[in-house]
Amino acid sequence: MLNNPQITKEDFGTLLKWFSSDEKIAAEKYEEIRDGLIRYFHFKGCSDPINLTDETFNRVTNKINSLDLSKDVKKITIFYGFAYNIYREYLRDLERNEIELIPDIVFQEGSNEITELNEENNLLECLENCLNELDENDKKIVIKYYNKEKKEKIELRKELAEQLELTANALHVKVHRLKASLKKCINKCLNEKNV
Amino acid sequence: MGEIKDIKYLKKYLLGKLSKKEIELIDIELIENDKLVENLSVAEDSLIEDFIEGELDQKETKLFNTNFLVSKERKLKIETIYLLKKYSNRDEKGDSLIVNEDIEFKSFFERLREIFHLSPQKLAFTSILIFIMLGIGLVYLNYFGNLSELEQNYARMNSSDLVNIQKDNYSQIDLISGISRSSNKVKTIAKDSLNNDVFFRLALESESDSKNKYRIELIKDDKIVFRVPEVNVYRNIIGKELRLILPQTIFETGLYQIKATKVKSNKISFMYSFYVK
Repeated sequence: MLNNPQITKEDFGTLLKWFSSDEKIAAEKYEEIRDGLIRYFHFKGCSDPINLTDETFNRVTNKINSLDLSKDVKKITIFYGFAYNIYREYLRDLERNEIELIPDIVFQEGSNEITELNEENNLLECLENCLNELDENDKKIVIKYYNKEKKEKIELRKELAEQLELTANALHVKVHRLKASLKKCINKCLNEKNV
Repeated sequence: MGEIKDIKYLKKYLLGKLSKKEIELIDIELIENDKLVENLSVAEDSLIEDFIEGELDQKETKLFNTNFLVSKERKLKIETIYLLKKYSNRDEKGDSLIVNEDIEFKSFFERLREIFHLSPQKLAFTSILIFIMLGIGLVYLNYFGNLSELEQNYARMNSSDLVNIQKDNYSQIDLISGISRSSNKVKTIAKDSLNNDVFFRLALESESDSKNKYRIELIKDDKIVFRVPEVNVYRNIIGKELRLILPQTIFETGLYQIKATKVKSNKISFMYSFYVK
């Protein structure tokens, strides 16, 4: 899907000038749109948001001379149009290559699920190590947060939020941040195990 | 249009359940600023939990698979939350992660004694059940008896527990029955890439009964080229799958079909296609 066409210095210059005649402001605008596109591809679930963002810039830059750069066209809209096409291509590639997305966690019915985990024993081991690296209170919050299901879960989370004097949303965000640091730690741990 | 920051609304966005215009609005908002990032992250996690807890209906599950589960990163996210939930639930009970549950052991004679204490109706029912099982056993033996030596070797291998299979020792092929992910294309495998015996993961509907066994027939040019009398159903976190090992040597170039038929019913079967080039 990635074209990697040659971008001329002139075209890139035109792109920056389109952002602003002031070089500093143009660079800031470039960074701003770049961050936005990375966010877009990230939440679309794409595997390599940075690469897809670069591809979006490449395509816009290559077409810069044929685009309507009049003031009433929002720059974001133009970038979005290109990014959307790249996202569609990403989904088509996924289909074409039949990328393996069946989860690896497998167990036989009726067996002890956790003990029967396949190579995910590594994942589990990493998860346990990483949870132990968290502050004791944070570890308790994560464990309590993911405890129970459905209605009981909602009640438990409400209770937990009250204990921590947080709103329900603030609790979600707190756990999400803890999970993000856990994820980083798990990835590092898995890499060390060469999984 | 719903409130753009509402978690339920954002979950619909992640599933691709909103109108094109509504999706576009969120897409552009996402590119313009980072105000939605935290809520979208929460919506992502919440959606994964709904999925794991079986809270999504059939239509949403399909959307989840086609629109949400689109990268290995998201797959890892699902696995991580799944494990966190499992860990948390065990930890709360005070269990260690490795649990050896006591299995109630009853001797053959104790079981026999239980049978003879049954009411006449129950005894008659048990007898019929035994009779049916004997019948199935005979059919199975007949089928098994006709297998070639190679098929018999792989029959033994496939009837064993393949949870802890060493994937590095096999060429792996994952298939979805009927059509592929969302198109009608048949998965193509390069013959050169089949360096070892082939380990197949055949996706089943999550409603499939896990206690069932499936009989496998590998079909090429309308002829059965390999048979496995029995493979087991395994659960993964999004549904169920069959696991099957076949010898690398049987594969030539061409279109193959794997027919998986429920051993008990003999009627319900799934067809998986792939092309070796």
